[in-house]
Amino acid sequence: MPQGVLEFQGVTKSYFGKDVLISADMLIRQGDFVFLIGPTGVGKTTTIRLSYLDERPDRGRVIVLGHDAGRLKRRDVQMIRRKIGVIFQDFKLLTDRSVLDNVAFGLELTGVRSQVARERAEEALAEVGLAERRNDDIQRLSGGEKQRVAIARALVREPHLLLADEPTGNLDPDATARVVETLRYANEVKGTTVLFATHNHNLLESVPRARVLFIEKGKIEEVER
Amino acid sequence: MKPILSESLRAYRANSLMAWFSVISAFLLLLLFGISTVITLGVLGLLGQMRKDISLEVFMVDSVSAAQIAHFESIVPQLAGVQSIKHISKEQALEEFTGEFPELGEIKGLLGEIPLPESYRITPKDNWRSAELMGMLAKKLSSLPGVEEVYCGGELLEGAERAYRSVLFVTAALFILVFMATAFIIFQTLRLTVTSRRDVIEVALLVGAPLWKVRLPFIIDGCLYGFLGGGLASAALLGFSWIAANILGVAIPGLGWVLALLLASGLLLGLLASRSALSEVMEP
Repeated sequence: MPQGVLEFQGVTKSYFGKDVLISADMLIRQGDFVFLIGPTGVGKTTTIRLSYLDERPDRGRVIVLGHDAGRLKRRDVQMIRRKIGVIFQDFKLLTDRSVLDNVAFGLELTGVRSQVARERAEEALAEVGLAERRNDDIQRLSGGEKQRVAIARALVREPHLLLADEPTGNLDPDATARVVETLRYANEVKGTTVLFATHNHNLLESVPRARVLFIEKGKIEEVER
Repeated sequence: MKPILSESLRAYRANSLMAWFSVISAFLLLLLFGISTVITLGVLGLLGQMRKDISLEVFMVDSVSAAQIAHFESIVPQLAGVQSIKHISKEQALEEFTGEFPELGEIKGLLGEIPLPESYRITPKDNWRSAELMGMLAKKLSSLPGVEEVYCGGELLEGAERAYRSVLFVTAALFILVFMATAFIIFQTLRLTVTSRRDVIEVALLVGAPLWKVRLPFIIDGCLYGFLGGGLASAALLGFSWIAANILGVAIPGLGWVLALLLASGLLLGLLASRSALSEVMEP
């Protein structure tokens, strides 16, 4: 049985008195590709934020890579985040630097030598099909390309867990397909565990072997395929 | 270290105008503080010199008897606060007097006698060299038989002590004001810088960068602004001291310490301001 990479045990999270998650349970094992499906505003982003330790649960336990989030100190959070990749709908790229600098940035800040970081960043860009755009400014890229840079930035650190929060929300169908394909490749070839939050049910067909979790009324339920 | 310095430079570029405004403000405020500290040290030096030179002059009555003199000389050295006692005869007093006022050198010839009284110069102990204690000693001395008047530099000393206290108060108030104003200006600059670089901080935290690596570029900037302000203030003060020494012939006491204080204050202010600015963005 593969090891649990991310686990929610009876997690409740509220904002301004409104419960977003109510005693929610979730288990994601190593090597899983999991779609987290649900309409806008039901708690997908909250689930992702709890998973990369940006939030703490009001009740229950969030266990990330074997660590109980409620017991972590701030510096421990940073240590764990080095093993987690996160991509967002709005990319969160640094617009004042090149494609390559964006991908190498995370590595350099986590202690990888600049030269090595740049070599690894070039490899990661090649994997997402953007090797030739490495010296371009971020602003010159299309939305789909920006998202693939964000994926390269996440994958270059060889994360144990890749969290994607509506990564295709702003993309056209072609770019969406390419992003999903890139994440599927990372999962199947590199063994990266992926949690992909989306409101778009159509994406489920792109990854037939993926598990599907449905989030509604504060609960997370597994959907049989 | 390269990525940190590179981020530091980017942070500076994001707000270079405000950064220079901070440096200039820190410079002017720290210079003001430096000048005030120099004045305080000058007054303190003057006060120290006055305390060192001060003594009590005890003038005896014209009709003082040998017994009264003997009594005086035996009792005074035993009084609390007295370090030494020196008898000034009429002849010695005249000599000192004519030394100070040579134009009155013929006074003895004109009057036929020395018009100056017998007197004593009493040197107080070091820990008695304050206006209050000197006044107490003078009161005690004037009650002794044969004593006509005691001149004590207490009033002068009291004035100097009062002046020192005022200058010290102004300097201390200025220090607090300068500290708060400079810290506030650097804090505001860095807050703007940190806010404008929020995306970088967010990504750095997201990829798991150690917290010190996220903070350091901004702390380097803050320290640099404060240190540059302190450095410019030190340079200006050094310039003033050169003018004072070479043109006015006045040496500034403790200048090295003041320069070190300005640099250290600038650095500390920058550090505190950058830490505060960062805590707004980085604290959970």
